Amino acid sequence: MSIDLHTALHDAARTTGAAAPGFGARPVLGRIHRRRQRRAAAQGTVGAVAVGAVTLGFLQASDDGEVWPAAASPEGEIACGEPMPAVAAPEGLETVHVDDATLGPAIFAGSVHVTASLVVGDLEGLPAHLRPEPVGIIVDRDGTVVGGTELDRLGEGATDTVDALEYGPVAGGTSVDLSADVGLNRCDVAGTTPQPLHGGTYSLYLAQVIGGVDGAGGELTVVGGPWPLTIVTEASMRGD
Amino acid sequence: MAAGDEVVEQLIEQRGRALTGYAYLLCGDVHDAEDLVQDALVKTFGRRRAGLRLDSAEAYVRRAVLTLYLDRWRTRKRWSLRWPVAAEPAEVASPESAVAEHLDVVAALAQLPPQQRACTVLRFYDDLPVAEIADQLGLGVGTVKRYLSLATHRLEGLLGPIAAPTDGPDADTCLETVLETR
Repeated sequence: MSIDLHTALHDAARTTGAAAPGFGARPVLGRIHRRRQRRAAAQGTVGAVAVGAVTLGFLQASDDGEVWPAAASPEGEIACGEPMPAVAAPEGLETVHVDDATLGPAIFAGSVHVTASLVVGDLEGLPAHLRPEPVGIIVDRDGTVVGGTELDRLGEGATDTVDALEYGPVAGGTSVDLSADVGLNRCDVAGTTPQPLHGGTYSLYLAQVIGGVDGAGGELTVVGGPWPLTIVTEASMRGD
Repeated sequence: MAAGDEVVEQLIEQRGRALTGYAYLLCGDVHDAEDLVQDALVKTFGRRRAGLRLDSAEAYVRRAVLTLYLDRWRTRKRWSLRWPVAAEPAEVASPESAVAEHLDVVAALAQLPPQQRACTVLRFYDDLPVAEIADQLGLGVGTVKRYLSLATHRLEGLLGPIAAPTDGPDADTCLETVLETR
């Protein structure tokens, strides 16, 4: 007799859900509202942060008033269909940046594996951790963001939910290995099924978000790249 | 009350337990499952979304549950290599007594690597076709078929023969793939 896995899984999910302690809407709504407020505040202070990087002795002010060291950070929001913003830091003085990326084969309708190093300078004593794996950003020849891995993870500002131990501490003066599988699909547009990017030449950036422990210091987005990315079809690899 | 809050409240009240059950299939611990669902709700509604109805909102949250689950697995894997002293979460926590009869299938599921587990849940619980699973996970179709084949083989070793999916547009194709690769 064979097991009906569909039924077994639905039974397990239903029974477990029914027996779960449950949670109320109020705490969740509180977190949602705090996140929206942080997003709004962050978007309104992008220009001020860029100026602060210079006037504060190359330290960037976060939205919580703490400071981050000078870093290779985007000058604007990274969004699908929009021009990739310039990545700025005082030349030669950035102390946090993503470097030395290695790209795996980029096959049409697949994903590309990227490894890189996050070089961390002096964090000024601010305890920090990495948010989940870096976000890959794919840019076309016109400089437009056309693909990537969940771009909306950038600027989510979920530091109140991040367990510093779970995501690992970041120590000043170290180099951290980064690794990401970047899907070669067009940016996800709500309500549509992602489509594979066409074969051709693109640029790839990696963005890694660093968060202060328990929300202290807000977040710092560090961007590395561009690195050339060529998407090929399996047919072209065979020489068809 | 802010716009959209009503949908969140309805979602938690009417579908919260179903979402927890779904997350439980992925992570294997009921408390982690509730945390996962709450984080997914915050991720989904942390940016304003207009015009979401209950059913479409639930689809967004399920997608976020899956993404967060895989993100955490990748991050834990990365950090467990770099900091071996960091505590590894238990694969399966003690479930409530009411779900004891389902321990076999859940325990078997917990034996699978996370990506195989995700493919199995999407295929056998959500009845998604292989191509859609590939889209959701950002994997190639061939990779998904291989994961499903490995997962089915492993589960059959633990549970006995598994019946073919009975619905879904490519149910037969999927099973044929599984059988061919054994």
